[in-house]
Amino acid sequence: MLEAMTAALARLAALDAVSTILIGTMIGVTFGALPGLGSVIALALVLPFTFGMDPMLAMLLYAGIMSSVTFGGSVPAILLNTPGTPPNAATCFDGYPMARRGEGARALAISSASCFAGSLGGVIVTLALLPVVKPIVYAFGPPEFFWLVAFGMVMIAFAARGNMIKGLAGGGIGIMISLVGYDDMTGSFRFTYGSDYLWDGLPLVTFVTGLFAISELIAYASRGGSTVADSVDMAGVKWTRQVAQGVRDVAIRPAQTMRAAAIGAGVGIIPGLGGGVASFMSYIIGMQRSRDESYGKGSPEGIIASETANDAKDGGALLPTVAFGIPGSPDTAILLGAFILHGLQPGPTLLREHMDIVCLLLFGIFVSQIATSAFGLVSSPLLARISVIRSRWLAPFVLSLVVVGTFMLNQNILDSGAAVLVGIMGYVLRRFGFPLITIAIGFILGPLLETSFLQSMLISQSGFGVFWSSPIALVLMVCTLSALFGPFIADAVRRTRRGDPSKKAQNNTAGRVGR
Amino acid sequence: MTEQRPEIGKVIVDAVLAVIILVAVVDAQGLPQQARMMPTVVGIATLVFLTLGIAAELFPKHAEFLKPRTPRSDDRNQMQAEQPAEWGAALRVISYVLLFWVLIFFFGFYVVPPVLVALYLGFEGGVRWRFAIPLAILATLLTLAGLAVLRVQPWIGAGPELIDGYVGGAVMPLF
Repeated sequence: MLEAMTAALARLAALDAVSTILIGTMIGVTFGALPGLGSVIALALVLPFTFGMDPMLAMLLYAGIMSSVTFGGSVPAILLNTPGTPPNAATCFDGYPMARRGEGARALAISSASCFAGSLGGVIVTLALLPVVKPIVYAFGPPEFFWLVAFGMVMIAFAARGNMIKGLAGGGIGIMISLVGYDDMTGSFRFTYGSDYLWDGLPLVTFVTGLFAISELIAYASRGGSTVADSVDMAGVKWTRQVAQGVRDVAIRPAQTMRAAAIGAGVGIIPGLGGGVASFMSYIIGMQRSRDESYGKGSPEGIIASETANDAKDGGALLPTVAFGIPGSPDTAILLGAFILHGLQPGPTLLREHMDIVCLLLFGIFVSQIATSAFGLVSSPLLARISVIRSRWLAPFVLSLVVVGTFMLNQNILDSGAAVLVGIMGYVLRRFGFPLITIAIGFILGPLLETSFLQSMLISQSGFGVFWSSPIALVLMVCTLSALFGPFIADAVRRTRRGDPSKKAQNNTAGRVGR
Repeated sequence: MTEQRPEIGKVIVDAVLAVIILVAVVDAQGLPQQARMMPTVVGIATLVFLTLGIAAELFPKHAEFLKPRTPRSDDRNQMQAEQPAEWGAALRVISYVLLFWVLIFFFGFYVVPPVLVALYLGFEGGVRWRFAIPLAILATLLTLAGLAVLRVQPWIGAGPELIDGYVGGAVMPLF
């Protein structure tokens, strides 16, 4: 292992390796920043070009793209409330309000520093778990998977703080929309109502981009002004100073950062969950644990939670990919193809014979992240100035980007139409109190929940008993149920202890009269 | 203390959503057992939440128990819907967004974005025409160049073929 790490580091020090990483980083940032694109398209695009390349350099190019897309996606999420990639949606909730307060550069710097911290965490976790990954991945069967996803669903209640009913209803709406289309398990069509377009359901990118980008576009274009609120005194905004503040924000929160990195890497290891789940789960757990009153309204902790997890996931997702040939996320699925294209067979053989390439990939992700973070920190003061451009100047360009971006995914113009309709729906729902975060969580997790439930039932010999048949499933079940009913029980206990406030008031009045 | 009045808009939206979900739940009953399980369970739960939402809006005093006091019981949505614009202004933007897509559907990426971006910048953004027009053209050219790099054939529009290969005459996608 040490030998492989040394060989990888030596290869990484070469000029061609560094320049390849930088090219990958530039491609990744660009593809991340453009709504509708993302790492999958970027990786798929460069895949054929790497055919004749040295496999090590090709891996570095992939590493550069994979690790930098996340930061690229956070730029429009923070400045325009338009996530560049679906996992960046959670960054909008705190990043955009910070930009509204004139702290765009600070938020971008937090994102840069968080990406670096997340990447470092992901790589460390991956290297540490590489020898013991087998039992971890095998320990997660459909029942464990079901409870993990269910736990994420229950977190909807927390995501909708203070408006639990609307939040849960929004989550349900998100799930119902995610069910549209062909059902693999039974071979039936659900809610397609004769439409051929709906056979495949709504693509995730289309839904998330429409829900956040279009609805926000309608909001800011109709409101006028700029991202930065009119009440902010721009004379007092020091973009460059904000960058240092942003880095400090991450540095003084090691616990939150490590927690988010652990969540991201952990979710990444489990195949099929993906970056959206990592960032949302980390964001919501962070919300639950945070003491910051401004969480969800422009707190650095919110950006740290989502961006760190989002980047840590890349390292985690590599584990099952290289160890078993099971891709942990859509982009690692393309990476898997790249391995095969270069004559490398993922699995135990790869770990045994080409450990240097695996280490190179991991180190490449880390070095690329250093480049991305450096770029992010240097460019933050400039990028943040987008937030002072008048919204009505930006709106038509953002709309063009969204329409073209969602079209590119499947080269189907109806995807763009669906994004527009989802965006209008999102705008109406948010005006009437439905938190968009819960709708997005429902849409992302709904299909995973259903599939894992049905798979569990299929492999079960004892009905529902499969759901608490393993210790991990049992622990996850307890966590999920206590998260679901905990607030109600705690509230009931609190009310009982304090007594009914109205009766208390009557008693106080009676006491005073009596005196 | 002033009495809290129900927001009729919220009640109407909740009711409309409830009807849509109800239709979906009823429709799901015609599916095979495994396929209908999830829509039925989630649909009924969503219906319950929407009904509770309506009740909470109409009878706020009696619906206090629906709001458990989580550590920070603030209303995130107030942040999300921060100072919403007048509905008139919002409807104007919604119309523009819809028109943008509909015109692109019929006439494609070559002609619609430059025209509509320039018009929006000029009329809504207050940008002078001598800046708005070149900016719109430049943005469109950059987009088309990006599509070319990615080897994606730009959408040329499903309307009648006006300029062969550029405007109209695209194969209709499956609706």
